[in-house]
Amino acid sequence: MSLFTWLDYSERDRRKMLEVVDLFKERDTRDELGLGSVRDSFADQLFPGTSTIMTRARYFLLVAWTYHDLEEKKVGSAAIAARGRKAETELIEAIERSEDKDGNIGKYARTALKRLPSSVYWQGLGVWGIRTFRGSLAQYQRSLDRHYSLRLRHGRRSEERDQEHDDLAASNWHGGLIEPPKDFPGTCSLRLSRAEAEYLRERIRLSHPCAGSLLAELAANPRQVNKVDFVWEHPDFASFSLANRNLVNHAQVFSEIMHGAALLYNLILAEQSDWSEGTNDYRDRMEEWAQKVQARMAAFEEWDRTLFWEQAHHGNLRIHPGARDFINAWWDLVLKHQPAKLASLQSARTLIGERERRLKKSLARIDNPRARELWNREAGSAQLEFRWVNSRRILKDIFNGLEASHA
Amino acid sequence: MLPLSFVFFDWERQDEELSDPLALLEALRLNGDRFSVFCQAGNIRLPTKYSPLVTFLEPCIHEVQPEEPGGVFHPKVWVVRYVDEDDSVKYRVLCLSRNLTFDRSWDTVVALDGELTDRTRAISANRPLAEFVEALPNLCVHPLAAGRRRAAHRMADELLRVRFEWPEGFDASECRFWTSGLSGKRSAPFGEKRDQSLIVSPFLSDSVIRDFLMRGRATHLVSRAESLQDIPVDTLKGCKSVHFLRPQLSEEAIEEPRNPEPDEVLEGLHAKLFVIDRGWSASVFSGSFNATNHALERNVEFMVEMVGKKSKVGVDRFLAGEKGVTGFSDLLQIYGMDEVPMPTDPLRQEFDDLFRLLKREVIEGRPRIIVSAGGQPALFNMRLQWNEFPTIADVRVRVKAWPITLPEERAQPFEPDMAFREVSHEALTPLLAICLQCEIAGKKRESSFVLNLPLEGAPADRQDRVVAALLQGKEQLLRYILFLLAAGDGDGDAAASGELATLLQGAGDAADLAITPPCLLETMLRALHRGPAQMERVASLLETLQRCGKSSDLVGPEFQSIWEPIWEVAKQSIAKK
Repeated sequence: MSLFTWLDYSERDRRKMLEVVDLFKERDTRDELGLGSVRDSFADQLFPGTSTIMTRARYFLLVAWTYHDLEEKKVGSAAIAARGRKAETELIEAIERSEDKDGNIGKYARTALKRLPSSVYWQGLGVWGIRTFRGSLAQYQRSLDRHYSLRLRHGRRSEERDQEHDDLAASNWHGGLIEPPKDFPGTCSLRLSRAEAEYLRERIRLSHPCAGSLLAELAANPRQVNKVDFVWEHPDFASFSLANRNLVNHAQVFSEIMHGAALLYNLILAEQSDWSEGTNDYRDRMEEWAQKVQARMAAFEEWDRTLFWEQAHHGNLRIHPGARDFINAWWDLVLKHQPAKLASLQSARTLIGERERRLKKSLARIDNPRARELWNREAGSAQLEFRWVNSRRILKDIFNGLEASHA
Repeated sequence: MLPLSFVFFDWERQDEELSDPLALLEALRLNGDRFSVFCQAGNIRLPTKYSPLVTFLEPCIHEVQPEEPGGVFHPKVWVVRYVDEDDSVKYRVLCLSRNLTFDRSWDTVVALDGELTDRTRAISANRPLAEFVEALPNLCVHPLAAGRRRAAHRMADELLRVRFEWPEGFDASECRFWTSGLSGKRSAPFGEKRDQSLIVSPFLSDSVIRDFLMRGRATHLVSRAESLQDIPVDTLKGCKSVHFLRPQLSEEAIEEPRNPEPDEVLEGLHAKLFVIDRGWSASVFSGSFNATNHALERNVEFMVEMVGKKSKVGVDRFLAGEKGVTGFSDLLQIYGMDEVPMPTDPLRQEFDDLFRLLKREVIEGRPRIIVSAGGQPALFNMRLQWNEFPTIADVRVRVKAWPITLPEERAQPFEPDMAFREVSHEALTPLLAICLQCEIAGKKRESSFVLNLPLEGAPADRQDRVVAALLQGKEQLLRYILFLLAAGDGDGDAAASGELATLLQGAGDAADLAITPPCLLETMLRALHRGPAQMERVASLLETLQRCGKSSDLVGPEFQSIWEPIWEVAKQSIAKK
């Protein structure tokens, strides 16, 4: 049949198509040596509720307000995903028009944004006690229909019985959640007002998983430290609580020692790829690392590994024994041999190769030339900082807010 | 993506859960010979992540370059040829304003179905369409394979005698195709006599609008706000009405849950329409022509003209829209001459011109990729060879290139002698990514694109190698072989119907190849009976697996014991031919 019409567009079809293409994609992994479980254990203990893809502190409020507002409008489970997406993408535009838009999530993707702020901040919102609903974003969305009907029933009953049953239809959000400004969401920037900054600081200090953490301690004692790259270099380190100092010490030693393993892994790949520039570069970086480690050797020798693993397991019970064995073995090598010699030590190279092979099987880069080609020449070679850099940004937002003149 | 959508369409129609990636893989391989895509050279977008499936698309994509300097190949036309069971030939022609992308803009489509008639004289209204198809092979930057050239020629020849059915409300005897920019030929599609005209075009040239103003009594204009603000106010004042498309749907329209996926909202004007009233009738033009000098004087363009009653399809009717239906006309907003100008990018034009110039220089250098054995076994070197190395003297410009199978970090700066050394089999590709990095007035901008280049010296079994790399485990291999064997089924439908689904299902249950499913022998014998073509496909796949060193992992002795004698017989029958 012949026709003349407007052309349709189906996001569903597009996604479906891309999913099928994805079935055939070449698989790749990020956590090259499987250190992620230990790294995240310390990061979660030091900076609870943060993640590496967070940008700014105000999103904690923006997401809560957005969904609180949709609940006020009684948007049901079937519609919430779409309505939420729409509200969040409109926020991108509002933020883009504002004077403080650095870190605007979705600035480039706009309506095609895959990872919405709500998904980036969902976990953190729970940890900070701003979201009281227990469960994933998807579970929350499904629960809404039931939530409204409970609220309705409870609402009637509370009139009858003088609000005795406050707990029957628990709110999904913190009871003291600060009100959004009048012009939200039409106007919106990423700058916190003083009241908002105070609210977030209180959440960090008081919410159960955060209380007592280094994040809470840092939030309580405002100090701008924009140039500090690692939390153990923080000028207030000496005044941290004993527990937090211990935690930071463990994290620091782990970060410093394992950095060498990551560098050696990249060095091996550079050599195998016949990439002389990279080989030289990684050799230099290994040497630099060796010097630093040498200078810290006294501290490493005193390091109590039993306590370290206790601390690591405290934050994450599911650390794989393979990861533990690998870290211990590398640690032994660093102690036993001069760090400067590790780059050319066969047993060190074998250890790295075996580790990758165990994690990635036939896709190990060290064995598979195709997997090696897909190496971006920089696989996890930065020193671990346990989300300090993200936390520093979020704290900076809060400190700026506390100093703000407008309430 | 294109062949995938064809395959998807089949799946959806059959309403059958045959969502087996292997079925898809083979469909992709099979359909590869059946379609050709012609696109402006230098305008293939760089995919964010490489998919090995792209290997099967390489032979289908042909980059073209119009003869006119500065001209762009702009048509968005599909011509599909169908052969019915009774050998009658049918055509479907789609003339769109949308590119082969996932754009979400407001675009139009004219879909025309027609049957090949046995008349000897050509239908003159079809001539531009036939000329357009005939011209495609000669516009290609790299020579088109003989088979594809013949297919284009046959289409062009047949299209002259296809009786198209035109959309309802239009007079078939007056409808026709328009093309422009082929072998220096320009067309003047809009005629001298125009009572009232409507121009819908995302891009505008002042002189084109003024030409309309001069020749007609009233001209209505619909465009993008960004384009309108570049047109002199005097010209706009000469128009009877000036509209632009509201950037987004209004709030209340969304509040109604009528539209479950706000993602599917169309945004941005990309349609190109001209409606011209003449007396009692009106012509509607739809296709690739913008109301610009470029479209009329330089580019290769294509559109259809449909003629109907003014009262049904005329300018007034279009602007009024349909009652009770929210459509395009409801989204139009009157453009005020005192409108606050949209922020524009003063450097955009300059960057665009520079990028276009650079692309052309690179393409005209005629690069080819030469593959040779690497220093280590199973690795290769890819060298870029030029007819003429582009001398990019502009100091503001940096150019780098890399095969799209490798990460961008492996890119190399442009040099007369560029090579990518020691790359794997999977990395061999004719698709070269090129990134132009330019700096104007302290601002830096990049433009990346992909070229499909001649690949010389690559192993012949590249496609099979990709299949082999994608097959995971014995069970998948067996299912794939079953698929290959059944796909050649003479009944045609067997491959796509329940029979095959059962086959695949059966194989899936026998996860271990040691228990060879009973259907395998039967299927092989049937395939043998039908002719050895599909057997050859299987044999070549098995050989490839052997070369990759994967065969011992994947092919068990059980399978070998069935396969070998049958393949012997098949070989004899091939030898006899």
